Parts: sequence; C-alpha cells; structure tokens
Amino acid sequence: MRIRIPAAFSAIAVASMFAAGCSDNYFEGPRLSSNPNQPSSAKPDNQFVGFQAFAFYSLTGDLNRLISLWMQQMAGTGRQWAGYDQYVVTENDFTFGSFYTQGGLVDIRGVQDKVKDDKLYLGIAQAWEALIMDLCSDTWGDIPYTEAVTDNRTPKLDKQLAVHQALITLLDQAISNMNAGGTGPAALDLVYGGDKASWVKAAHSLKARIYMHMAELDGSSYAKALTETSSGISSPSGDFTTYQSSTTGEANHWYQFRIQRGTDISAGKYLVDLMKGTTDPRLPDYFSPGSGAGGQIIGASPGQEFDGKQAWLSAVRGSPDFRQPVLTFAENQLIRAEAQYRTNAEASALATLNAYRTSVGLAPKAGLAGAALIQAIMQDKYVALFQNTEVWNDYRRTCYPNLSPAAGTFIPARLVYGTDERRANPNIPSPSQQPKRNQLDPATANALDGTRCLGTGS
Amino acid sequence: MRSSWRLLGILAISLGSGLPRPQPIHAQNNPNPVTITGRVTNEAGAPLPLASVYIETLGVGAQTAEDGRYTLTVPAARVHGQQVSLGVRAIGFRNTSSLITLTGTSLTKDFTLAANPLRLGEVVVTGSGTSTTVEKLGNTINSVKAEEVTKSNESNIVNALAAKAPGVEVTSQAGDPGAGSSIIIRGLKTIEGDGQPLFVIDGQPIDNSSLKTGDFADASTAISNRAADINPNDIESIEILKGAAASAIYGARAAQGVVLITTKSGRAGATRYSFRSSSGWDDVNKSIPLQRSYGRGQNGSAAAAACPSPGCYPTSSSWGPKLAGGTATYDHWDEAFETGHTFDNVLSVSGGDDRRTFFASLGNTLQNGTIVGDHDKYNRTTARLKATQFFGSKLRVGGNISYMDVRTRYVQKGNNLNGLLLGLARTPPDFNNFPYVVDGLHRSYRYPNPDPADPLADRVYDNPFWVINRDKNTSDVNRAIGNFDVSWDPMSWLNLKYTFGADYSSDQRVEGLPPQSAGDALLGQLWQGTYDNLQIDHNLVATAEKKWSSALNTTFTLGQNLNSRDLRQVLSKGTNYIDPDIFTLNNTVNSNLQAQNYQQLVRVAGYFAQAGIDLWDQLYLTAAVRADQSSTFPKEDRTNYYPKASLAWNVIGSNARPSMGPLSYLKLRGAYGAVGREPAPYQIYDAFSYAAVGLDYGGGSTSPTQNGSGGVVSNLVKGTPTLKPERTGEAELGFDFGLFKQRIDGTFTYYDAKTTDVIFSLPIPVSTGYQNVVSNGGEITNKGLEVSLNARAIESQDIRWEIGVTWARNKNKLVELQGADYVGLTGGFGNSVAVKGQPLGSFYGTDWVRCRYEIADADNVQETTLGSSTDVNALCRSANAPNHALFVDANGFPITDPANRVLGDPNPDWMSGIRNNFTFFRKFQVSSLVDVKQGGVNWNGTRLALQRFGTSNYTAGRADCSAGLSKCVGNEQEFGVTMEKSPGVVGPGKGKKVAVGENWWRAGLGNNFNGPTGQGVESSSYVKLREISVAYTWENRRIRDMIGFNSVDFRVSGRNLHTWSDYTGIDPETNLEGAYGIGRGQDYFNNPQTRSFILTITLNH
Repeated sequence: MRIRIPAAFSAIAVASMFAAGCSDNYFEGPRLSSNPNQPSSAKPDNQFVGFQAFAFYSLTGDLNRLISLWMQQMAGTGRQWAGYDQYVVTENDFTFGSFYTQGGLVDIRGVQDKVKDDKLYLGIAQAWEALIMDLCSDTWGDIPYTEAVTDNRTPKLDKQLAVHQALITLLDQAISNMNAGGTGPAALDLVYGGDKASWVKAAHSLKARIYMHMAELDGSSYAKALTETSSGISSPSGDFTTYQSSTTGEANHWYQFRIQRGTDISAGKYLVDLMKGTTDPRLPDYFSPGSGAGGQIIGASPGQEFDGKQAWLSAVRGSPDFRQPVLTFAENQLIRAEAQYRTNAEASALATLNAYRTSVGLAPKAGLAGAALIQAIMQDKYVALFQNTEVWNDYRRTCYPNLSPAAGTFIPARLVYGTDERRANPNIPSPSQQPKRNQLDPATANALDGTRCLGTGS
Repeated sequence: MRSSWRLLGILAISLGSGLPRPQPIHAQNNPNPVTITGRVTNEAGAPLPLASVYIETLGVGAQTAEDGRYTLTVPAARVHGQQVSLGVRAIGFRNTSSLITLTGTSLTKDFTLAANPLRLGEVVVTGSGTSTTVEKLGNTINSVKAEEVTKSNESNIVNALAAKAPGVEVTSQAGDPGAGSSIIIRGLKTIEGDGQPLFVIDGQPIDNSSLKTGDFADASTAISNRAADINPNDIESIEILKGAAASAIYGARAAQGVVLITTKSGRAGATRYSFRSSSGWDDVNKSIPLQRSYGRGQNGSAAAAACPSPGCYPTSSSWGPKLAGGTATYDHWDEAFETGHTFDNVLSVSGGDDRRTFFASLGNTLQNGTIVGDHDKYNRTTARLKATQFFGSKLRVGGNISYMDVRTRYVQKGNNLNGLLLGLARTPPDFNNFPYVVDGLHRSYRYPNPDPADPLADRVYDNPFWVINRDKNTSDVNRAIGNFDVSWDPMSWLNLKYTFGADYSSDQRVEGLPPQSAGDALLGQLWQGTYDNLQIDHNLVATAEKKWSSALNTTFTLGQNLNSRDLRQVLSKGTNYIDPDIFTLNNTVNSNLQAQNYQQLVRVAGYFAQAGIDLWDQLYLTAAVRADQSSTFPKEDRTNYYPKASLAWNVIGSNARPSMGPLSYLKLRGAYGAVGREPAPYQIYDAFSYAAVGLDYGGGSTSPTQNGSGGVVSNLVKGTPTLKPERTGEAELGFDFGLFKQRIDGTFTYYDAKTTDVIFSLPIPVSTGYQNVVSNGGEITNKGLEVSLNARAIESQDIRWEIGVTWARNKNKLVELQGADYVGLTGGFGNSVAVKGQPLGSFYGTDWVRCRYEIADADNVQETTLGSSTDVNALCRSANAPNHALFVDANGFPITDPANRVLGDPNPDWMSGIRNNFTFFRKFQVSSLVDVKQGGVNWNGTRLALQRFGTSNYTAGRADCSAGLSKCVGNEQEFGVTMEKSPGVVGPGKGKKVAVGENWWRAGLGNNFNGPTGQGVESSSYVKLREISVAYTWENRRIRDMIGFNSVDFRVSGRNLHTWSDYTGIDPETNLEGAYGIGRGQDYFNNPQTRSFILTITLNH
C-alpha cells in the first residue's frame, strides 16, 4: 500500500539472504556439530561397568542356554528352542559378535588402554579378556585374536591352540600386574569389589581350566592344571559369579528369558533323573516342579514339547538377582581331582573328590579307582557345573555324560561361525567348509567306561 | 511485456490469488454495478465446478459452483460502457473467452469448454516457488486432481494416490484406522532411509515420518505416516515430481521425488458454502485361511490336549485326531472382526472479492475399525484458514494456517506375542477363546486353566480378546502447519515471492500392556512417549521474465531456502502395575526404568538459480542448479551442487504447425537432473552408548549401568567423518501426443537413474570390535518405462465415456555394496534385505537344498545324513537337472541348505491402473479404478508358522499320524512335484511319494521354526478393484429455494471391493513394516486389509 511495506520486505529478504546461510554459525551449535544423544568418549570406569554387564550376557545368555540344552541339563520345549534342542542351528542363530563388539573385547581393550598405570586394574581387565576369549575359542575353535579389535578390517583366524597359549600368557601377565598393586576398580568391579586376592585366585583357576582344554593335544597340561588349582579359588565364597539384581537391565538372563519366553525351555530329563538317582540334595535347589506336575520335578528329553509338568529353575536360581556362577571353588576342586587322576595320583584324586562331596552334602565314595573314579569325578562335575558352559568342554573331551542325542542326529562339537563375521571376513570358510570339531577336541572314540560315545558324530 | 503480465496473471489465478491488476479508476458514468451470471459446462453439457471466470483487464473474477454456475459482479465505478474479454479457465479444459460490453444492465453468459486433456497452457507448480506451463515441461510431473483424491474417500492422502499415476507404488500397511502407508516413486533409491518422497504443502515442506513407539523391534502397531494428518478435502491438486530433473530444485531432500500439494483457495465472487458428509462401512476383505476339522493335539492324538488342572499347559498345536461330528468349533477370525464405520464430515466456506480471498474448512473423520469393539479408532479433526490480501496492485500477502487434532487407538499386531493375530490364528479350532478372563485371570489357549495361586504365570500368547480389550495403544497428535507468504512485483518484469512457515506437531504416545500379558509384560508394561517435531522453512524466490521478440522469451529465477528440522523424543518405560487398568507411569512400581531421549536437529541452506529460454513458442530449454549446505554434511565438504537441464519441443500443436493428419499434438522431451539425500545426523561421529540393549532371543535387556554405577559401551556402528550425501543422477526421455484433436492422448517416458554414494552401514567383521561402519559405498540403479493413454471413447450429448490406462515398469538393482554381499534394511523381519546384484528388498535367507549352478561347487556340498556329505551340483550335472531343481533325500523329503540364498524379489515387474468414467444424461456418473500389480513376491511367514501349529487351512488335507510320526499314512505327496513345486527334482528320493502331515509340518521342516525361510516366498501379484462409484447430481429449482442449496450430489462408492490373487494369506498388499522402513512384502500375522462401501452426500450453496 505504502512504499514502506515493500521496502521493509525487501530489506528483510536481502538481510536474511546474507545473515543466515553465509555464516558457518548456522551449521554449528550444540545439536548440530556434536551428537546430543551419545557421549563421544568414555571414562575407563564407565566403560568397565558397561563391559562387565555385557560380558555377563556373553557368559550366561543365549549361548549358555544352548549349551545347557545340548548337555541336557535343560531342554528346549518350545518354538526356536525346540529346534535348537535338536541341534538345528544355522550360521544366523548364534554368533560371536557379543564377544568382540559392544561390551566385548573392544571395550575391555579400551579399559586396558586407559588404566595402564594402575596395574591392579590392568591385571583385572586382562583376566577378564582371558575369561571371555577362552569361551569364544572353546565354542568356535579358531578365532580372530591377534588381529582382532585393530584397524585390520579382515582379521585372520588364529588356531585354537595358539589362542589358548596366548591366553595363558595373558593370565600370567594379569597375575603379575595384579600383584604389582594399584587402586584397581574397587566397587566398580561387580564380581569381587576390586579384591586383589580373589582375582589372583580366580586367574589361577582360569588357567587351570584353560590347561584342561589343551590336554588332548598336550598331555603335560594336566600337571600344569594341577599346579594352578593349588593357587586357585579356595572356598565357595571366592566363587566368580555374575552381578545381577532385580532392577530392570540388571536381572539374571535366565530369569529374563523365563518371563519373556517362559515355556520354551524347561528342566532337562537327563540331569533331573541323574540327580534323582543319586538322591542329590541339591535337586530342589536347582529346580522347582511344574505347576501341573503334582510336586514332582520332571525333565523333558530332546524334542519334547512343553506340557506344563516340566520343571523350571528353583525360586533361588530363577530369581532376577541370582548371581550365576562362572568360575567356582567346586570347579577348581574337581579340575584338581581329575588332574590328580590323570597324573596317576588316584588316591589324592579320590580324597579331593570326597572332600568336595562332603562339602555339598553328598556321601563320600569309597574304594573307587580307574574308570569308575574318573567317571565319578566327571559326574560330580557335570552336576556341580549346572548351567555352566564348561560342561560342554568336558563332554567333548571325555564324552561324559554319555548323552543320547535327539533321534538321528549327534551333539555338535562346535558352532559354525556366525554370518556377522563370515559375511565380511574372507578368512572365514563357508559353513560346509568349516571343520566339524575344534582343534583341541580330536574325535573321541569312546566314553569313559569304554562304551561307544553316543552323542558324537564325525 | 504483455506476455509476462499474462504469465503472472495466469499464475496468480492458478494459485487462487485473484487478479492483481485493478485498472485506473475512470470517471464514473454509470451508477449500477453489472452482474454477469451463467453456467459453464463441458461439451457434453455436464456442469464444470471450480472453473475460473474472470475479466483480466478489470482484475475481477469468480468461480463456478458444483452446478457450474457463477456470478461475477463488476463494481459500478468500473463500468463505463467498455468492451471487455470475459474468460474462463478450468483444469483439463481449453481456455475460452468471449467479448462482452459492460453497460448498466446485467448479463447472462454461458460457456461450453472443450476438453484439454493434455492441459496445454495450464500453469503447473514446479516447486520452491517456481511454476511453468505444461507445454514447457521437459520432465514428467503427474497431476492428481482434487476430485480424484476425494472420490476414493481415503482418509490417508497417500492411499488416495494408489494407481493414480504411473510409477508410483502405494502400499497400505494394513486396514487399521490410521494405518501408515508407503509411497515409492520410480523405485527405491536408498538403503538406510525410509524411501519416502518429500511432501510439500503450499510451498512448505512438511513432516511425513512414521515413528515407532516403545522397544518393539518390529513395531507393534500400524503406526501412521504423518502426511495422513492432512484433510484430503482441503486439497486442490497434487503434483508428483518423479524424476531427478523435476525434483532437483529440492536438492539434497528430493532423491525419492517430491509430492507437491496445493490446498484450495477462495475465489472472488459470492461466498460459497459446501457441506460434504459421508458414511462408510468397512470390513475385512480377506482373512487368513484356517482349518476347522482337526482339534488340539499332538502326535495325531488328543491326549496332549488334556488340561484338567489349574496351571497346566496343553499342547500348542492342532494336530489332534479329526474332530468328531458335532464337536463345537469356533470361527476365531469371525469372532474378532466386525463391520467398521467411517464418518467423514467437511464444511467449507470460501469467497472473496477483487482484493481479498479466503477459504476456510472444518473437517472431521471418525473411524471405528473392523476389530470388534471400539478399540481401533481414528478421530481426526482439521481446521484450515487460507486468505490473501492485495495491497495496491503489486503486493499480495497471504496466510495459511491449519490445525490438526488426530487421535488414534491401535490394536497390537505382527511379530509380537501381544499381537492380535499371533494368538488368534494359532488357536485350535475346538478351543473357545471366550471367556478371555476367568475370575480376573487372563485365559489364553496356551494357558486355558489359569491357576489362582500363580496369577503371573506365562500366557505364552495373549488371548486375542485380551489384546483387543485390555491393551492400550494410543497416539494423540496435535499439529499446526502455518505459513505466511508474500508476492511482490516491484518491476513489470520482476516478481519476488517469500514464504515463511512452520510445521509443529506434538505426539503423545502410550503403549500399554496390563499385568498378565504374555512375554515380558507379565507384570504389566507401559511405554509412554512424547515426540515433538518442528520444521521451519524460509523460501525466497525472485523471478525475472522478458519477452525479447515473438521468437524469444526468457525467464530467470534466483532463490534461497533455509530449512531447520528439530525432533525431540522422550520415552519412558514402567513395569509392574499397581492398578491393572491405569496406563500412567506413576501407576507402575518400576517407573521410569528405561528413559530414552532422542534429539536431532538438521539445518539446510540451499541456493538455486534457474533459467528458461522459450524459442519460437515451441522449443523450451530450462537449466537450473541448486547448491545445498547441510549440517549433516562434513564441514570440509559442506556444499553440494545439484544441476538439471531439460528440453521440450512442441513439434506439432504449436502455432507454427498445429496438426499433421490425425496427430494433433506431439511434444518431445528430454531431461537430466541430479538430486540427493542428506546423511542422517550424527553419523559422522564415533559414540558410546548408555542405553539398555535387548540381547536375548526375544527381548531381555542389559543395561550398561549396573549397581548404581554409570556404564557405557561402544556403539555397534563406527562413524565416518567424511560422509557425503547420496546422489542420484537421472536422465529421462519421452513424448506426449494427442490424436484426433486430443480425443486420444498419451505420454511415454523412459528413465534411467543411478544413485551413487548410497549411505549404508557396511558390515565389517565383528572381530574388529564393530558390526558396521557408516559408508558411502552403495550404488543403485532404477530404469523404467511409464506409459499413459487416455481416450474419450464416447462423447455424445447423453453419454460420455473416458478411459485411461497407466502402465509402468521399474527395474531396480543394487549394483555395488562396497564389497559386502548384503546388508539389512531399516525395518523388517530381517529377511527382506539389500543383496548385491539384486533388487532392493530381495528376500534372503535359508532355502531347500537345490541345484545351484550359479555358485561355486564347493559351496553346494551338503550334509545330508549323519556324517555324510553330498556334492549337490555334481549330482545335478550328472542328472542333467535344471537350475534350482529340488534335492530330495533318501526319505523323500527336501532338506535345509544352511547357507543364506536369494529367495525372491518383492518389487513388482509392472503396475497398471485402469480408470473408466461414464457420464449419463449429465446427471449420472459411474467411475471405476482397477489396480494391477504383476510380479513380485511376499514372504508368507504367517502360513509357515500356522503349518507348524496345524491351524493353517493348508494343512487340512493331512496324513494320519496317529500311529506315530514315523508311521503317517495318507496325503501322499511328491516333493518338487505336488509340494514345493520346483523346476526339477534330483537326489536319492526322486519320484518317491511320502505321507505329509504332522511329521512334516510340525515335527519336520515344513514350518519357519525348523525349516527354511524360503518355503514361505510366494507371488504377490494382484488385480484389485480399487474404486467404483456411482454419483448423481440433483438440481431442482424449487427444492433449491426450499433448502437453500444450489445442488446436491449423491455418491455411492466402493473401495477395494475385490482382489484377485493367488496369494494364500490375507490381501497381498500388506507389509509388516509400514512407511518407516524399506523392508518389504513381509507377512507375519499382519492385521488385514479392508474393503468399504461409502455413501456421500454433498450440499453446495
């Protein structure tokens, strides 16, 4: 109308033309030139806490469930788990991603890099690395290790024996670092609250465990394992257990599975029947009866669907704050018993076994020797290491317990590499080209009692 | 000079702005105003609504009503006996004018307009404040008129675009009220984006996101796409900018094309009122086929079905014996669905004079969906006011504000233990899902006898009626879109346009599962979220036009665009309800357990320049470039250029050569352009996460923070500091033609688009410590043909018949993936992925062992039985079997190939829309729209799962396994021939017939839990009767006088009345994912589609 309006308008227009776009300030600012949603760096303490939470999953999550099924301590009674129970596993199902990424090796190495000056902290972080990489290598055999978590985009596979040897070396460094002292993670250590002595013992027990894995290739390992057990975990109070609580995000993974996929997994018939046969007082500690079972603890055999009667974990084991045992005094003792047996100290082996049995409320065994003795040791270890992946290692090494697999199949001796690695790493062979067994588990022809090993195939 | 004025005049009219050229006021010599009345009809005599009648030299105009009538008043002051030209303009018709002499008396002037099917001479909006006329376009822009949008009665404008333009693929996620829909133009060009085009309303970009609620990986409800908030009745026209040349003016936001929406405007003339009311009846068009002959049981026996004591869990499956006659069975599907209703009411008022115009509307859509009860609902109320005012003759100021209140209630669906159909379709036919609550306890078919002592026992799957009645899933959106615009002509050759606008929405979400719900919601679970989305856009354009001679006209445009998009989300989760029926966080014991904040801010500054040269009124050259800077580009490489050029040559139909034989029009055109897609923000940074992550199969979670100590872990994806935008270069060539004076017209376009630097998360070995690194390495091509043909087959006084056909094919290929074999897509069940060398979205997963000559022989060695391996390809060669012949083992069954293979392509081979319009005796209109999609596959995971449970109708003809699963008899099938039909069969079991029943479907590989994914891939081709309608216009002077309306329109229409398809599930138009991802064709207990009957009445004054 009046000349002023167009003039004002053109002034605004021209000004805005230059004001906004020409300046870098337009593109810089709190939510423009940085990520407002996530931190770009991490303090070692925060990264250590996060690592531990995710490592507990690697140790007691899906893989742990799968192995408990295969070892018939538990049974898959629904949906995908019914298939896994019959060993139907493809490269899409279980992968080692969690061992390396997000809360895996990448983060524990990140902690190690940042705590170099605190030797105790460094040693604990190194022991952690040995613990998770041992499980990874036990499961998949040859794994990327020396070139893992580097800038190398196609890490090579290291032989399983070499990985185990490297982990022994790492644990030696860890023990020496811990002994060198330091402030350590203190309360941020969710396992031992930063207690040096407990960690040193756990590291020795872990060394013993790793030596046992190597025994089929290197017979001298039994003696080395025996030595380590002497410095290993010395009482149940020194057990390495996960940290869990009833807070969401901190709950026991078996509990979380139960409330999500309740009836897909139940008690395993083999373990239930074994414990009933030995009137093992721990049976109600392990399981509670299914609601339709009239108070009886009933297990499912491979391929059986959930019917409401099969048992689930006891109230204690199934609670959200149950701390899952990972590396225990019991295991240390039973490794010791087996190592004594393997080094021809049968009397010591029986004494060690009986000390263990007494401590858990079982009657001592008298006069056991030879095959009967080793079988008794392995049976007690199978029961003691309930829900522990180590049972599978023992099975592949000793064929104990001599499990009958689901009809027409055999119990797998390793997992195929997951697609998350194979698809991008040319060093991983296609599933059909991968070995059926790991390097440290050459075919076992017979079970401990000399009979045919039922569950193992080629 | 005159022609430039004419162009601006045309432009102004088309934008609904009235006419900016009041003449100098002459000495008054006539005391009376002149009223001109009349009626505008087409050649067949049918009234033409929305036609503009104007006297350009006086700057006065009016618009015709629904009955084609207009009233135009020339103020007395301007009447002095002069002769003026009275012109008429209507979309789809040739402009006409007539000379009249203005004296003191009123006039009547009727017009009959000739059809202008090619829209020659019409102004078309080309985006960012630019426009041109149709004959000058060197690239394809498809226009969809208001009538076509509203005729379908779709409440979501995206659905209303289905089958309206070639090369535009619309997929409705489900028939739920408010369900989101996806629109893909000329094929997918991105891996990590949502593949959706940019939506622009009246020059202002708006939000069309589809954001999920909660932590449901597959999205638990059919959440809406935000463009659905727009009231379709407010729309005057939609232009779809398809290729890169057309959309280059939107630069880094236009890779998937642009949908330009122009809302209705007021016109000078008498104030007009319109009231439109429609009532629709909706029901499910296709159900999941379920068997009713076999009851609950297992191993061919009913024993496992017994569940006498509280707390028992009977078998999950329906593999019992054949039900005895008289056994009660239940139609689970029918119980859960009913006829839904949709009520849609719109009131609009518009008018104006020579200086100001306005349009106001108020609309409400109320939909109660097809799930029983009123738990699936959509209630949208919209209000709009659009007004313009002239100041002097050179300055026009406009405002446009709309407000939307959208309240949606959903029912959970899909791959979800709490979804409606997951439990429903698995229920044995002899189980009564009622009552769903017993003594306050949730009763499901998996847990039929709830134990009062254990109220929180697992229900495994929710009872469908629990899902319907007890869950609460709501989205309450309040949204306002407004803009202010100015158009100023400081010089006769110069126009400046400025638009400043904002789109703000606030979405309050609740996703609540009460205690006793299945899965990890046993204690009750609540997600509560607030999403705030604000987009501000500033657009300034200067256009200069000069006609140098009759042979040369030039235009030049300069523009600036500033855009800012700000999203803030807060999500909180609570569990363990105090009161089972109150869905608020403070009603949960564990309140605020998982708080998730997400924010993002993106700023763009774009500058564009465009030049047009018109030669001899037949050759039109346009060239432009847009320079975009975005906050999501790395600082070092902040500016990206998007050029375009196009040429249009009107060979026949120009003044120089009006026609040649029957050929009355021919335009040849060619264009090339480049567009982009900006990276999502913050992908250039490495980061640590403190969010809880679901780690377990099925959704347990672990938080990095433990025992009160803060924790972080590395992100799975590594950032890339040098990330660039995706870039699409596209060339198109085509021609438009008219025959027999445009009685027949058509267009033909070929395009070839190549998208490079496609952003995706490149998988790297997890042993590097990361799963993915953000990468620019993808390349995608889309090549296609688009054809449209229209004929006015009959054009007599009493009968008119128009037929239009569109046909388009697009070939999409992911050419390069930087060395990776495949990557996942955003959204999806996980089996629709991006595989190198295949169309995007191809299904990828496990399949049967087959002959696969396309892979290395060593990769086709299969473990067939315990410990023995077979070299399948060697076997195939020796048997001379065709590629993909099925391998059958010694027992007569196929076996699973453990490696992942390409299973099928969900993209259609071609799509076609066939439209018919009949007009009888001017009063009756009958129209239909048929939508054809040929080729493409869906993954019918629903059927696969139901085969396991024995409820699928597919398992009705089953073997008798009562003697044991190894001793089944009957239903003898030959794999590869009568089941899992294949190009051939090899292997030791070739020719063997085997009994197929529970042994295969439940205990064997005949389902998706044990067997391969590939067995669920099936053709999703369809022919669909999208729309059919019959309309009658009633005009009666006496009634008009009585009720005060000029005309009344009645319309009876049907939508999605029938789908012809071989697909074995629900309607093949379905997707587990809506518009928030580009995983496609996935069917896993998706909620069904609907068909509708609609009655509409429109009153016009």
